[in-house]
Amino acid sequence: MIAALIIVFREVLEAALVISIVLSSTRGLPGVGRWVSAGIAAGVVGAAIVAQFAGVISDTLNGYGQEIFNACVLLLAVAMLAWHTIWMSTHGRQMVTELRSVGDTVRSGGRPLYALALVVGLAVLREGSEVVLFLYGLAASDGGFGPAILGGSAGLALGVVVGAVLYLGLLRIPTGKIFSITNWMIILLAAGMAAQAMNFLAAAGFVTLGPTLWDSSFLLSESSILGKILHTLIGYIERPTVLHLIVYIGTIGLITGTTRLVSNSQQKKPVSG
Amino acid sequence: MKIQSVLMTATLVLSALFSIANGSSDALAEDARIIKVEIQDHTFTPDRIEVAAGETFILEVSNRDPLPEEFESMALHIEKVIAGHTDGKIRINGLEAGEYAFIGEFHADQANGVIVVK
Repeated sequence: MIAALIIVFREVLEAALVISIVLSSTRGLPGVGRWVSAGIAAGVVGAAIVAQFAGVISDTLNGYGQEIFNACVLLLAVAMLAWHTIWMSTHGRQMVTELRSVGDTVRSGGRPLYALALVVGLAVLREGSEVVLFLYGLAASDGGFGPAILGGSAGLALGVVVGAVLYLGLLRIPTGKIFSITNWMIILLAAGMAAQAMNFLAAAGFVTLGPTLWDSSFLLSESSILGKILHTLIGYIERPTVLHLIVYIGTIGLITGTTRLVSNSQQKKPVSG
Repeated sequence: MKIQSVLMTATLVLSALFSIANGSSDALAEDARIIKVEIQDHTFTPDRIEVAAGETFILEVSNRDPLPEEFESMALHIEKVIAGHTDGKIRINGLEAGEYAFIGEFHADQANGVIVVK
């Protein structure tokens, strides 16, 4: 049961952290709860479907279906995070100065909450499919049903607790600063995901990772819980390669650069709603 | 309407990348040595794999257990889930001499192995 708990916890952790960041970056907005819940629900359903067809996915595309699927899921999440950040730069300024107007902006067909809901759904889908696969295998094996249920729920609960701790910590940040802090968290989340996607593209033979830049596994192992948390939050990789670094910095540069371009051009013309 | 033009550019870049990816899909064609690895009772057999430096090879991992296993190597930047009673293949491009550890993440205390490159 302990084994199941640990495995489920490790898988749930990443999705829980992503959900916390999304929730704290959108706190107080009307409809957030519904969008995020819908994202989680869709992710769980998707995870069950992906787990069911794990063999089929693995065997497609000459045996690299799983890698290509994972790369697509990650890159789609990166695109959604980038899109949300860039959109925010056109409206964020008003929001910081007058938070109450946020509600109106959203109602007037503004902030793309669907983008963040999709990010949540994709995170749940990716981690959840492994959980489903594992728990299903465990439950189907001799005497494994009890441990699967107990360990699974305990691991899920523990993952949710860590996510809640991050969320509550972020809640303490004053309103004036929360926008820029969660904005940066989302940018780093995207950069980390983009770098991780390179592993899957490399495994499928589309890119070459290049030489390893350093090995900091003696300082912080990426397999440790803290290593895993930092891997999700800021994209920590214990042995990054040239391509990881290029994609990581490139993603940050692309998002912040586009953000600046868009908000500069917005400032020059009068606000038209 | 800057956002539209940004989106257009992004779409163009993405589709360009995608066509590059498609063009190099012959990279998926296999002509490398196949090394068979079995997972049984959450252990790898063999758990020590020797290859030559620079050699491209394919690990064909057969999971004989009912439980899935996640083949993971931080040193090789590989993570691949292999469902119970299925096979998965992992291509590894020319490595420099050294030792590269791998584990089964779901049973990391038992499932350990190393690729030794000479």
